[in-house]
Amino acid sequence: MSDTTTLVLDDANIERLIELTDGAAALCYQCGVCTATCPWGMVRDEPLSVRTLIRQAQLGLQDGKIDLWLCTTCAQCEADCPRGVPIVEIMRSLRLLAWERAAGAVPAAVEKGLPSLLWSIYWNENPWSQPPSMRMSWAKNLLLPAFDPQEHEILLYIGCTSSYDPRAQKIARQLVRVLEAAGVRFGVLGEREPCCGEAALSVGHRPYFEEIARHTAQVLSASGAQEMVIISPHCYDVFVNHYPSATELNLPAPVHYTQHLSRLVEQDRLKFEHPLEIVCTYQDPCYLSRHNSEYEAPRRVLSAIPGLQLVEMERSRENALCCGGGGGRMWLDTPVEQRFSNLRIQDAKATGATTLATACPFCAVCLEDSARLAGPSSIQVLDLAEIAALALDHPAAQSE
Amino acid sequence: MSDSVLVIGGGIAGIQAALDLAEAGARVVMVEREGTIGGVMAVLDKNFPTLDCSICIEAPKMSEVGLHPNIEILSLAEVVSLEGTPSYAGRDGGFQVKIRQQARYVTDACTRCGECTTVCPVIMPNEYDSGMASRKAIFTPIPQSVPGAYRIDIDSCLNQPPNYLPCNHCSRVCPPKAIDFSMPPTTEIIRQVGSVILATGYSMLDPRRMAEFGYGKHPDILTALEFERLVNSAGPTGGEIIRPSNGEHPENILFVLCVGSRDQRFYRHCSRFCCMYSIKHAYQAIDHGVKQVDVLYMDVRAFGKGFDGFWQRTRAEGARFLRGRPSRIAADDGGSISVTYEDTERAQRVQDRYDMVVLANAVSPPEGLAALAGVLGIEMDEDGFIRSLETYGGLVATTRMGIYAAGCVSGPKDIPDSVAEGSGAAALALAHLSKRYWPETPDVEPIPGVETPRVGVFVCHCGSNIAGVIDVQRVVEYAHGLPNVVFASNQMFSCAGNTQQEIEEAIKRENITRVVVAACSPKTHESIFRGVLERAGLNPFLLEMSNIRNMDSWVHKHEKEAATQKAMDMVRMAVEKARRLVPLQVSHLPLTQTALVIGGGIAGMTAATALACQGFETHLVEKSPRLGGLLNELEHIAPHPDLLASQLVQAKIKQVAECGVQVHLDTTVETIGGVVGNFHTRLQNGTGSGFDLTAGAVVVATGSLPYQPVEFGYGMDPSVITNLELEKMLQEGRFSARQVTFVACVGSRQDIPGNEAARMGCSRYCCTSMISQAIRLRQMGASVRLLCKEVRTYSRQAEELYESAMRQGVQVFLYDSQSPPQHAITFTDGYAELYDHLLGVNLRIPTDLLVLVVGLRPPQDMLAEQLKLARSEDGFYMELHPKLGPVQTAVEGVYLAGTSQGAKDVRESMAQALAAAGKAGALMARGVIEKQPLTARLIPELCKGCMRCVKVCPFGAIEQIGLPGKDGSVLIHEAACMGCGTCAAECNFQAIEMPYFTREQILAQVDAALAERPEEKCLVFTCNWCSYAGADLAGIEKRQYPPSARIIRTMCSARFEEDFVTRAFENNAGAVLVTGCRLTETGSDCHYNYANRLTWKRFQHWQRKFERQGIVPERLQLRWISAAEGKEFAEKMTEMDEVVMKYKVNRDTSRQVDR
Repeated sequence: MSDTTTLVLDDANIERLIELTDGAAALCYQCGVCTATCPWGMVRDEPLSVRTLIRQAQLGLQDGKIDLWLCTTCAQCEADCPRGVPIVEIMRSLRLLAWERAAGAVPAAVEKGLPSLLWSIYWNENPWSQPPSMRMSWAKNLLLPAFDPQEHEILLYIGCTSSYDPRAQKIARQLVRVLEAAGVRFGVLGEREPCCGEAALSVGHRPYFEEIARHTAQVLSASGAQEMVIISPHCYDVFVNHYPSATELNLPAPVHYTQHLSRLVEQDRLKFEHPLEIVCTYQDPCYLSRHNSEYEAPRRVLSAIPGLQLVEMERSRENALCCGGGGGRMWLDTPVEQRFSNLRIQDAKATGATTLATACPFCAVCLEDSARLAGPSSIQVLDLAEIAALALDHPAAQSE
Repeated sequence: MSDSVLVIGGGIAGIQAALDLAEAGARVVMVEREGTIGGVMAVLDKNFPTLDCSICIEAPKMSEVGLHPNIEILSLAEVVSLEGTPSYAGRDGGFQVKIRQQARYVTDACTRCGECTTVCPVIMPNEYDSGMASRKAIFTPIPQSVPGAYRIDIDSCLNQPPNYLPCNHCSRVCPPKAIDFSMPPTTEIIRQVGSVILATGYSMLDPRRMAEFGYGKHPDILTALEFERLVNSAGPTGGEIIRPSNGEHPENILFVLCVGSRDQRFYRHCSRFCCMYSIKHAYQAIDHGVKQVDVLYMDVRAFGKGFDGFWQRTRAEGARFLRGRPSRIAADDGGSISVTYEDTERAQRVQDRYDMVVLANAVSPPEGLAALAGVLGIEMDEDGFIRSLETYGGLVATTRMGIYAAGCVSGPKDIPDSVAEGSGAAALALAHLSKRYWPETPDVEPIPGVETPRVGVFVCHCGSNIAGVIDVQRVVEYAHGLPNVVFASNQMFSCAGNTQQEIEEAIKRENITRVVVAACSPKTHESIFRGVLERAGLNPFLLEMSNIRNMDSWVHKHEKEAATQKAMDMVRMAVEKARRLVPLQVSHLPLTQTALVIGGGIAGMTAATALACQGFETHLVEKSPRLGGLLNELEHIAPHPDLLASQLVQAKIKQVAECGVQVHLDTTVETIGGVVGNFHTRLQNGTGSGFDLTAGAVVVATGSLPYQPVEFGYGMDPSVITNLELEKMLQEGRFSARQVTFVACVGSRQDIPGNEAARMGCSRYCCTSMISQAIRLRQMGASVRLLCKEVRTYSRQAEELYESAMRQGVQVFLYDSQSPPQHAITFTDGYAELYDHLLGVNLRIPTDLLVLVVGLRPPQDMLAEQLKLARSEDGFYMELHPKLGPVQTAVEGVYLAGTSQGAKDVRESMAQALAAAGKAGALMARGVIEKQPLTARLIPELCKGCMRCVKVCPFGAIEQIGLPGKDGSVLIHEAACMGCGTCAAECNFQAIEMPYFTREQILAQVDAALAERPEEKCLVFTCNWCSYAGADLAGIEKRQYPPSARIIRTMCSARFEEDFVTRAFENNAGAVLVTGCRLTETGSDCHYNYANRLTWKRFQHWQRKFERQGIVPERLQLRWISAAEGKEFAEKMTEMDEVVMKYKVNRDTSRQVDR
């Protein structure tokens, strides 16, 4: 006891944290389930001690020893928390405090690489340091109409990752094929499509996120769209949970594309004529599943594909293992041996599936990386949109 | 006008309520959904912290309910409607209840022989073993079932449509033709009652709902109740802890607490008793030889008397207590179980393997409670338990007048709290009755010439249960030849209605004056045959039963000749005892129908009100000038959200006045003495004038004292105050601090320096009360920190209050639970400093007011000495039994209420006060004390005045008169005597006689047992409650053992005299075994207030003494056997038989050598 450090409680800090987190951390009774359930514990000797972070937040203590930036905001801890503590929210608040310190005298308070992420959004309107002029490069030779509220049922919101990341671009293209096959009348915003700001929020910079959101909300509401179909669950989540309320600005209602496809299947507009004789398992993306409780729509779409046999991994739905890409981790380096996605590939292979489906560009990128590392005999990672496209009755068109 | 009360639910709370009501002359209709009463307590193995055998202490109460003429049990029944209003004394009113009862399909002719079960082809999971063992479609839930008849689970019976190919295996073999498929499946029964007691108990969360805990996915992940059956010797594994997956013993076990409790996804409440039973399970696991036993906990809520000590002991035995909560429990590759958690004391993520995991799943409201509450027209709370009107009666009063709740139906609570509420509800229910009823004995022509023994022997076949093994005809012929036997015959079923008639007629015809029934167990059938004697005009105590079924034919199935020989011996023993029986009269002793309640705090006022409402003259004595006690110093009553102390006190004072309680303020008890029925007391009031009062019953409610701290410079430093002073500050608006730090457990949960004898436990009230204060201070804008060992918010809504305090920013810090606060915390220069276990750092907490949360200390008065009350280790008054006698004391007629018995909160004090009023009311209701004639009788001319009996009496029932020695003598207060016989065994001059178990009768039994081939026999002395019941159970379970045992029953093992043993060895007995209720370091199952401690002392002396006389210790043994240990009894008999054979062989050879 004598050699331990002594910390002094500071009421000002405590009140600031209570204000920032709306008192949410206070509720924690320190059972440690969060630390135990955190996926970092599976890949590192030193787990991410979520409980200690929350304890510090409770007490208004700021001690840089614990790596705030590891958290992927996957919310597994929230699912298991017996007290209902909004841990992800607290994590973001702690990160904001770190940004505040970084803006002051302690630049090291923020993980290297993250300031340039924000600068990229500032200069390029995307977090991928790509020129805004290249935003439609994903569409290649597709002819896509600009959204017209008179003509189109929905606005298709591509999002930055599917616009720029080579792997994710494929998802967007296949989704377009599926929508066309179902006869959906849709349009896009093209180069005018704004960034949703999720990257800024996930690394904790709420003030900047709010600035982005204000701008983006204006653009979207000016589009006149009633409904907006979104590819990335991350974009979907901020629109649903973090944007100014839809009624105020008349924002188009956000719909995840799997929800939309499910609806199309139900309405018999989308028909899978081409049987796919595959065994498939499904990775619940954190931001679609735990954050937004959408477990069924993607499964309904997959189940509608003739021949496809859907099997579940042992950890699925509320307990699905994160791919490791959320919470800003897409822009940070994770040592190869510490990637959750490696474990997830093993989980998927253990089911006997040949195809691992997901519905999130981050998942697709991370999981495919790990599948490649696992060797050639490994499992095939496909986005649900890509699988749906394969099941359309146009085998010849399946060029990719 | 009503004399009846409806009791819904036959668990321990309902049982207690029914017994107290019946005792007080109420008629009781008990409705039980299951096939037997007993509830959860009947399936538990041991009770914490005393490790009492659960069924051993509950079964006597169950059978008392079953036999009580005032109680009607409707099992397999549910209440379907209730109409009307409660009745009040002298006024019209009452409820009409409609009850739907399902058929048992087995009539009362059932003799529990079990033949049907053997042949029934349907195998179903046994609910009472949590499905881990099987039962048939016709079955008895547990061997001790009440009502006793078997039942058919018609839904699985093959005779039931659509299985219309009739099976009828059972009805074909049933000897008394007790199976009747033509019964209507359900019957509707209407009863009129004056009030209702709801005691439907609880259910438990299905842990399958918590997928991450793996229950249902690996066979070795068990619920606590399943583990309970696993360690029970009558359970599916015979008490072996084995892994259901592979039948092997586990090397290690993990116990997980708070499974679905304190969890906003399932139940926000604390389930209150899981901590303690898990500690008990850990203790038992170690006891069973499990090498590694771990417990994962968040706060150990060991708040009861002796609980902390039990926790300490369990740790000392080697159980590891780890602070944390699992995130995942799942099968691992090697067949064992992988558990992931964070050890929060070391901030380490741990992944460990266990062979077995036991989940303490949350207590939930009982299934179907919502519907029942609808029928009864009462409200439920947000968690689905019954809502209580706390100002009226703690948790006992529901939202509808005339309907009361007891036990877990109003929230989780353990056995003593449920028992207290059962008695308490009875006290309130009695106030609605306008008449009382006591059954009268039949008026018949007495049989003449009872002085002369003319013995009639009736030997029962019990179908083939007895006759299939024992040659009954030969036994009857043998009986004919025994002295004084004038009649002997055999009967197919002695207990059947027409056969009872036969016995009655034979008694009259043959002028029989002593009856021997050789059949089954007196424990189940003695009262039936006593009734037969009464109807025939014979004193009921002229009966002796010989248990040739449970203790002979059932346990020696394959040794027909030896069993027949044994039956002859047993009949001879019974005849020899019967010849010496004399008529005994139930006595009626005088009683003053006046109650004295000492102490005018919340407990005293509550008890006095309840007594006066039952119609008794009640005196309430308070030494201070005002009523209210400690509550006068409080503002709020936590955890109730808006109950003010003053409001409660005013409400109670009003009730006290309305009920006509005679209040004596500013009055003290100068002297108090006497015995039950007539306590004489001299009271002294403030003006100095005294007056005398005689009371039939006394309720001691003298409360406790707040601890006066010396820690943290209290008294010298003005920034250090107690929680009671804070309360005053708040009341007077003097509070101004900005940074307040509370220190919990000051004067609780610690040994006091310089007073090592005082082992203070948890003071119970303080955590919740502290949190309520903290919320108030927080709402005034202060920073509030709580420094605790653990947070023990165990009571109803208290955990929710704790949650709300945290949400509002009250901060909680844990300090070392092994250290007193002044060692773990320092307070200097405006900072409290401690090592925070959750962060692993020292913290300095800015503090301008340090609040010491003080514990409760035992009352400082002379009542204990004057009333001969015992005190427990911590100095509080000792209750009669920690589980089943929470308000009684070892002194009959003196009851405890409130904190004088031990620290408790306001609700618990009120519940206990009501219980004391219920008990005292039941005692006084009839105006006389009815006493069974089994109490000790003094033979004055033999008494030498040595006073040894005075010293050993466990109930203080023997009074010294005059000085010890030649002139002195003693007075046995019949009213206070419980009939154990400790005194008679202690007396060296044979000056005390135990009726029905006299020295002469027992010696005659010894002689009879050893008349032939004594060297082949083992004489076994058993006590009525445990070891005899254990022997009975061995029979029920058909556990075979050698036929060398000859069993003699007395009420208590402390009745056994040295002379009995001497006589046995003089008669050349092969061996002697002394048995009794279990006595362990932690407690005693003894039904006579630890009398078996004396048995143990005496036995050690005998063994040494007889060894000097050449009896090797192997031939004189002692073994504690509980009522649940049929298997252990049989094993011991086998062992004793080996001893007998060994020494018989030796003697044979030595005799040959002699020749």
